[in-house]
Amino acid sequence: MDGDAVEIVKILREEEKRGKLYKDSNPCNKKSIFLDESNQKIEEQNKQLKKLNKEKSNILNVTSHELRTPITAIKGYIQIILKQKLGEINDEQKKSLEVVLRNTNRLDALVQDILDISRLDSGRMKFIPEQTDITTIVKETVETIHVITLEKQIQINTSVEDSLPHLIVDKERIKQVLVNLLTNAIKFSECNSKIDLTIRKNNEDIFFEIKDYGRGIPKDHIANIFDSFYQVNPEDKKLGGVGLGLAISQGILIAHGGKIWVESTGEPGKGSKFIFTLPIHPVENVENRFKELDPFYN
Amino acid sequence: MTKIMVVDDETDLREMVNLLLKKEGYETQMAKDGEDFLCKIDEVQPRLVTLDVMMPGLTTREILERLKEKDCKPKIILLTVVRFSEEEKQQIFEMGNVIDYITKPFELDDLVNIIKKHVQ
Repeated sequence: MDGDAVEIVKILREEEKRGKLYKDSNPCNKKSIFLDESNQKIEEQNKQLKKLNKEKSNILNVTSHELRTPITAIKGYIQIILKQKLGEINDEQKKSLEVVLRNTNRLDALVQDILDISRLDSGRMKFIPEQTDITTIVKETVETIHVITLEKQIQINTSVEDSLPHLIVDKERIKQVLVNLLTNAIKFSECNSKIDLTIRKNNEDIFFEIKDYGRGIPKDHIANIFDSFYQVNPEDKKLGGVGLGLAISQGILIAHGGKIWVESTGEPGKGSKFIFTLPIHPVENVENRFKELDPFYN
Repeated sequence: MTKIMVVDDETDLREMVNLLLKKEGYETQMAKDGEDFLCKIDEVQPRLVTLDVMMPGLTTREILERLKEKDCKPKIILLTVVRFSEEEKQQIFEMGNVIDYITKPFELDDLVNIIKKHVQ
């Protein structure tokens, strides 16, 4: 290069350096660069979270399918044999198979509870709200638990206020809550006792009260009673369940805009009263929240 | 004798339902996935099909779409692990041929009763 050209290149390089330094040192530009980078990071993290969310959903769906399918096969074959479709069976074989079936049902209930709590925790439980007559839910619930009440000769006294409005709720899930609370009440009641189920309107809510006269809940346990896997007494495992029922019930009720709480002095014989509410006017978006989920996989 | 096809990728489940339906007096054929089902359907000509949701390969939607091109139009009962809302039932039943569904794990009597309801 000739002398002038070299000079020009030198000047241009100097300008370049100064320009870069100016850009780097100018606080407005620094802020702008920082914001751009932050926005980019947020966008990437957002994409990552959406991906993880979808993976979580897939894991729950696959787990549900993979656990429930073998249970279906086990139950199916047991029932085929119990119905003597493969030949006669003797009493001892019948009793043994009934034990297998009972434990398979227990396993299935546990799988369902674990899936339910996972879905509630991740906000992916599917609800199907529909117009529901409270009297019908109560009747169906009492029929469902009838066999268990017979085992301990427990009387369920129901009192449903007249002319209660229909609610827009997921009927099967609210039945699940009622069955859970009544089953617990039966579990912790003495034989030949009673349980009172009262349903009434109070302002803008329907109150459901389940009162038992069993052992009650000690005061220092009440604060944790709705925690997952919480059991007042570790020995309670022998009575069945792993401590998920109340957590699931609470999750279902909160999703419907309701509440649940318990009153108990912990004195044996005074029992506990579980109370839950459901709003007369349904919460918005209980069903819309889950609309984007594929019906085949959720 | 009413012909029923049992479609499920899980061998044990497929054979269990097959055995159950045979014992109930139905003539049965099995298929291990959507492709297998679509290959066999014109030859078997089933009146009703029990179809598992969530099989590898073709999705349930794809199976139902391709079924429209076949001469044989059996009634379909879906075996699922989920409940459907009324809106979803409407959508699924509009896909053609799907007439009912049952959730796993099911009681054998419930499956038999649903089938009896739709083939009589």
